[in-house]
Amino acid sequence: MTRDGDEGVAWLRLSPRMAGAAVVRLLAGAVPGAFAFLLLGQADQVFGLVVVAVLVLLRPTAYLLKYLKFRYRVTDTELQVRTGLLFRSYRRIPLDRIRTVDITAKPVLRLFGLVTVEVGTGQRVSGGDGRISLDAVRAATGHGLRRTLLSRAGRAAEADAAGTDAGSVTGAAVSSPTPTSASTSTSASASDPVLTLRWRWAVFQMFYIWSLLTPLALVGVAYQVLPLVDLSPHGLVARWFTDNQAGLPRAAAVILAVAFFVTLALAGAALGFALQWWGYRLTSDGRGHFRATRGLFTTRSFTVDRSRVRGVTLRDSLTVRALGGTRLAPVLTGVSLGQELSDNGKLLPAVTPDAAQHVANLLLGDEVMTSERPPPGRLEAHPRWAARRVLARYLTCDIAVAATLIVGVWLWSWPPWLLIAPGVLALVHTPAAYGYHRNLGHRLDSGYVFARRGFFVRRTDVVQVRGVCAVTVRQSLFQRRLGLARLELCTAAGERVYSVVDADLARVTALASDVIGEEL
Amino acid sequence: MTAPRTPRHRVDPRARLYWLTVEGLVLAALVGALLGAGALWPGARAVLVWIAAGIAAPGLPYVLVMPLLRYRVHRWEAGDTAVYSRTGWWAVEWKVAPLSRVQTVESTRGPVEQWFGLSSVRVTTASSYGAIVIQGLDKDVADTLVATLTRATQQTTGDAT
Repeated sequence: MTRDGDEGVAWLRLSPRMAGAAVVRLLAGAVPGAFAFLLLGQADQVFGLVVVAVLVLLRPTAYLLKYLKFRYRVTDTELQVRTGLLFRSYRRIPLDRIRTVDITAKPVLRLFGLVTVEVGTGQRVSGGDGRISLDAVRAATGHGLRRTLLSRAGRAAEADAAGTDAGSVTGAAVSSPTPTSASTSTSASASDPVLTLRWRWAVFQMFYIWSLLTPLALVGVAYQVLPLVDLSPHGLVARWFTDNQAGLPRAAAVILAVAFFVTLALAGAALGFALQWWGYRLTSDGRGHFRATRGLFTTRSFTVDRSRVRGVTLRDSLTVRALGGTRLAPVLTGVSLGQELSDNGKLLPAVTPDAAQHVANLLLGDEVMTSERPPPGRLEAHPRWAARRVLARYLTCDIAVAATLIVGVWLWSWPPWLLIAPGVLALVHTPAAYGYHRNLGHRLDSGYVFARRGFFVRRTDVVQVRGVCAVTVRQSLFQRRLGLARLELCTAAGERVYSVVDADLARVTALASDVIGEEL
Repeated sequence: MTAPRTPRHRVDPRARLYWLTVEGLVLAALVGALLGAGALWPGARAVLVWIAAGIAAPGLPYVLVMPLLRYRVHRWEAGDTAVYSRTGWWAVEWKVAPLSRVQTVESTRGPVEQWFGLSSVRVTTASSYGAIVIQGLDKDVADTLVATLTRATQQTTGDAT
């Protein structure tokens, strides 16, 4: 069902250099394949050969078939993709539905000067989550394609924004992107650097809480599991670190093992940071288009349009906060939840609050985040009952853990020192509940709702009022007793719902009425 | 005022029987499946009977009391500019969706609802979380509501994505 105007546009194929990439993948797969053959071939030569051949050849063959069968073209109004050997599929995406175009390049593809272009609409289109992948095109073609697709998408997004402002009930004063027609209209090539990589940000990624907890968990597990295979953990540690085979005092062995794994985890996190954020640059073309490029082996290029931004979220875990860092993520429309969670969706690593404030204000197009610390400035505090509610929740979990452990120690003879755990948890949770209360706050100001909550992971949401579709005021049974309530703002952007938790009921009702423009 | 105001209309009184029936059927199916499995496998019979008892003990009062509580809480209202609802029995939720943000309005009737002559109305917005569902409406009331809302949303513009 092609229209007449489409006939003139030729169907394009992916780059033939894909064959080269397929061969490299084949060679790379041959090494573990040979290893597998050695294992399997012991039993039955032919069977082993067949299995290994299938495993090694499967992916490169699929890749080659993709090249043979995949066709795409960009017409005046649509991006059309035809693919499939056994199952033919013909997908058509209207150009003005396209919201994101990301370019990634894995190392194998980079060898051949190829990139992968991923087009997202943020909606469900003909099965799947509305994302189309052009697996391997020439780099120049890929970038040109992105420019073309985004220029059409940009116009559509601005039309969205204008339409929203007209229909908006609260008439919030939000600056829409101002297409300065007087400026030289060179196509998005003028780019001002907004942010470049600072290596000290690696510290934030290294001291992320799981990189510290995982080694401890590993050591704990090793201590339980190794004796089952007749290996003494102490003996191992003694052998690795000292010459004294007779063994170390128990405490020293544990400390050494933990220190070793923690160092390993920190080094791994630092290496991961370098691989992910090598060469990171965030640039702006001055007209509300931002591009972030990064990566050492796999390069990624991610664009954000100011007209799609409906707010920002700042997230920082306890350790990162102590070190003076925070992670900024924009709240974007036109991004499906799956895309939101994928790695491509990261615009910035964890950075200092100053850098985060600078980028947030640029993304929002307004001086929304002030330089007051902690961001985003002074917030209205919530009632003290909120602290007791959270403390009750934490302690209930601790009691549940304690009950389980007591049953375990009694019935299944677990080691009794496990019973210390709930006590430790309770000791940690008590100040945490009050810290949680101190972090709670909200404010409605110049068309934005600011909401902050959390202690172990503190999050600050800055949400544009114009993006809110519906509100929910929610009170659980316990909150009814305490006079607290939770406000949920439903948006079509980002995580789809943003909450102001444990605030006074009257304040929540007033806030909801102000945000949605209706008397609640 | 402190709490959000109570929306004007109650749901249909038959909704209480409807909720009782639906939850009762689910509970009966669950307990029946467990007891049936217990009858077939004598070895696991004791455990399964205990689990069935563990589900039935709180389940029965829940099935009997919850519909009454829900009927007292559930309210709805379709004003000139917004749709309101109050739902829940343990946690109470007040929801508001302005008509300018409403995308679709639909009414559905499951088999049990058809038996009682009831219908549910679902009002969605651009946000996948922002849907308002009003259960237990009389079917004529539901049809009128859908027609009214569809007309009203066509007259207001914008859909706020």
